[in-house]
Amino acid sequence: MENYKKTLIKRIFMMTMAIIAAVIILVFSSVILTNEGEGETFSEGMMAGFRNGLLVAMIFGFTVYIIKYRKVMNDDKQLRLAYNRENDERRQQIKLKAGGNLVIINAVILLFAGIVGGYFNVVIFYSVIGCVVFQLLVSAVIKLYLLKKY
Amino acid sequence: MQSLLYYFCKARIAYRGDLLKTKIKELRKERRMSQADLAFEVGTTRQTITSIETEKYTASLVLAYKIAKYFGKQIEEVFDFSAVEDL
Repeated sequence: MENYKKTLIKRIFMMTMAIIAAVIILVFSSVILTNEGEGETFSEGMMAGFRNGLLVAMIFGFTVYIIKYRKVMNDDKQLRLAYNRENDERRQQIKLKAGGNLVIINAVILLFAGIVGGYFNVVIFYSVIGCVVFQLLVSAVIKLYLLKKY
Repeated sequence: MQSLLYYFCKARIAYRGDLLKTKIKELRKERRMSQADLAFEVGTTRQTITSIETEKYTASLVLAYKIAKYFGKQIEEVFDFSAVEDL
């Protein structure tokens, strides 16, 4: 359990760093780039909105996880339950069958590529984001199906 | 065509044969344990214990060993391997 506690501490640190980075980007885009969005088309405005929305969602999600991990670390029974849930062989098998971590890594890379590519051509943005949504949707449906099956 | 159907059915039976019958529920009832309690003790989740009991999922060797050890029995006393032996 001590090793798992160390893993959780590492995760909390990484998520805190990600939150700080996201806040810096948000502040930079809303305070310094104040003219962003002015005189732009709907698609370009949406691209900036999507980026900011993604960052806000990331901050919110990571904050929830940090609170959850901190709560779990203070209670030995909850820590053991969290460890069991994370290392449960059935869940791991289902996760692997639904694409595993590869789907998440792929989605993050594609999201980044889509936002960057969108500055050159907005069609790239829509296409890549569409791919990400479809990929995540398929993975989620497979996961739900397998959770019912096994 | 008949032989194709035969092999298909045989394959399906073989597949179903992989899903082992267990005595976990009976052993648990004897000790008045809940699925969550057993899951906590053997390091898994309640849902996995439910799936094993309802024969939807077959436990790995490690988990089967942990469950058998917890009840103080041999693996073959907890899990019924007769379906596998028939193959």
